Amino acid sequence: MWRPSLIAIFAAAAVFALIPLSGSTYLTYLFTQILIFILFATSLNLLIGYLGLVSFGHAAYFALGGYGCAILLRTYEMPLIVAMPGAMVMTAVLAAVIGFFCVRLTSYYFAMLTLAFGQLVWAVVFKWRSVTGGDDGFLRILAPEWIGTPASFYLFTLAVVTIAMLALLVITQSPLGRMLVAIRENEVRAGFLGVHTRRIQLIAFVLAGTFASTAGALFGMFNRSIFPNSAWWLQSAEVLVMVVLGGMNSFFGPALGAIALIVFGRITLEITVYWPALLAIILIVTLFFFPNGIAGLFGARRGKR
Amino acid sequence: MADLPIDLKVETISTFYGLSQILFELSFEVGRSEVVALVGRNGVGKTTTMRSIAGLTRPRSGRVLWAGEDIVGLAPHRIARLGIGYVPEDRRIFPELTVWENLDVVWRSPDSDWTEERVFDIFPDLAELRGRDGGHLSGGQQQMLTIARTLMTGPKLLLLDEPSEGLAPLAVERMVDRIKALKEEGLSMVLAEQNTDVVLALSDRMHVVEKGVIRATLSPEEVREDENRLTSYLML
Repeated sequence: MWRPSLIAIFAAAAVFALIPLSGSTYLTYLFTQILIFILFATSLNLLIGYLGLVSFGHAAYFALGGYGCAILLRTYEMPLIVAMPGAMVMTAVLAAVIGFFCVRLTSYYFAMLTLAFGQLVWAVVFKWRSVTGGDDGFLRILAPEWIGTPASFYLFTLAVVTIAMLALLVITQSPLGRMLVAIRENEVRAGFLGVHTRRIQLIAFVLAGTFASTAGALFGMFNRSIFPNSAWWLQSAEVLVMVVLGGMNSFFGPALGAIALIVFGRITLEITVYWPALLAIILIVTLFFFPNGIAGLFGARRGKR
Repeated sequence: MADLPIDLKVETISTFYGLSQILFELSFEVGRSEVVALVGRNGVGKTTTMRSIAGLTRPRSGRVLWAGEDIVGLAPHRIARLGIGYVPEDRRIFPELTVWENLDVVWRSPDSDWTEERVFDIFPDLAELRGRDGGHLSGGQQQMLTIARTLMTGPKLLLLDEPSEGLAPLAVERMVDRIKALKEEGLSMVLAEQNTDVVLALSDRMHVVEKGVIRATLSPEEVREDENRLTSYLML
């Protein structure tokens, strides 16, 4: 049943792999950023689209991955093969602690608590100058030489994002994914069928945070620096917009939203400085007339994954 | 089926919704492989009794003993895992999941011998519809799926809340037929029902519930001899 999605991931990866052949460094940088945000947005959709819980603090895990990987790479001079998984594990542990409290609440309260924890992570990053560099940011993040050129880093990012997207697809199509949908549709109903709903919610929260941290680790290496604003609530809002714009009811919706927002944003900013106002209008039109987002235009509908 | 002692004892439970008391020290028992019906008009407390047993509404006092253990206060998922399956009255399937996904999504007891094949043997209609979205099934098919889904958790006792409600007569007949098959499998059941024919066809014993208490206990034979005995309580 999910073979078309599997083929779509491999086909998209094959097309994306052609980008460096264009010889344009600009395009390579642009698509590196797109790939990173595809993963970031899809990780958030595990919570929003599948579990039905809106997080306003997802950037916290993105930043934790970014800072974690950067600190392990530069401060502790660990190899990338240790630093990146290390950052993911650390984020997973923190997401488990934060998630333990968050999944006890639902709806608006869940959203507000994730926002509060997100801002708490931002405050720690901002104030812990000796470790994170504070508001000066954490600079001179050096990726290994073998991914030192824009093209090689792009291909590395493509490989990591493709593997992560495959893993997310497997998760969403597994019994766990079906339980997430069941809980989204009716938590009480899932409960009297023996599903430990809170535990499943916590697992999804940790998984979403871990995949966001992978995107964050790539983001830090891509920019060779990372700043506290990557944990700021506006970063959470941006990825939330990608999910809504692309369509939260489809596996590929957030990826489409990430592509659309970044590409359209770049093009528009070259024409006018009123991009944020235009984005607001696009969002309003999307919410009123295309509730299933861009993916909805291609026939994806609620609940179909 | 595993040979676990199956014995439900509801002991003087009082359940409230806010300040409104719905059940007043209600008590009854269900023996192994027994089908006990709770009959009564709307609003007398049948569903509240079911919800109190399933852990969805906690009784303020009294005990619900399952295999000797008081299960009051346990979370619904823990009660389900102990072997009590709840089939709610409004056919609460997951409409956006297919028939197969609805069956697959539940927690499964490791010692349960309820497999998809066995469930499809009991409900052959569902086997033909396994790829169809739950929301696109008829009322009767949804009711079958609700029961089938609960069977996948490996229950020893089924709480069936108004299974005939809103179904066409032919669908009711098919549903009764399937529940009889489950009874023959040895499942214990508590059946909340208003349809006298369904109650007579399925139950070993019936308790008439009125204003949150059990007013009378009748056997199917007593009712068949004189149906007025039941209808007088139900004021039909």
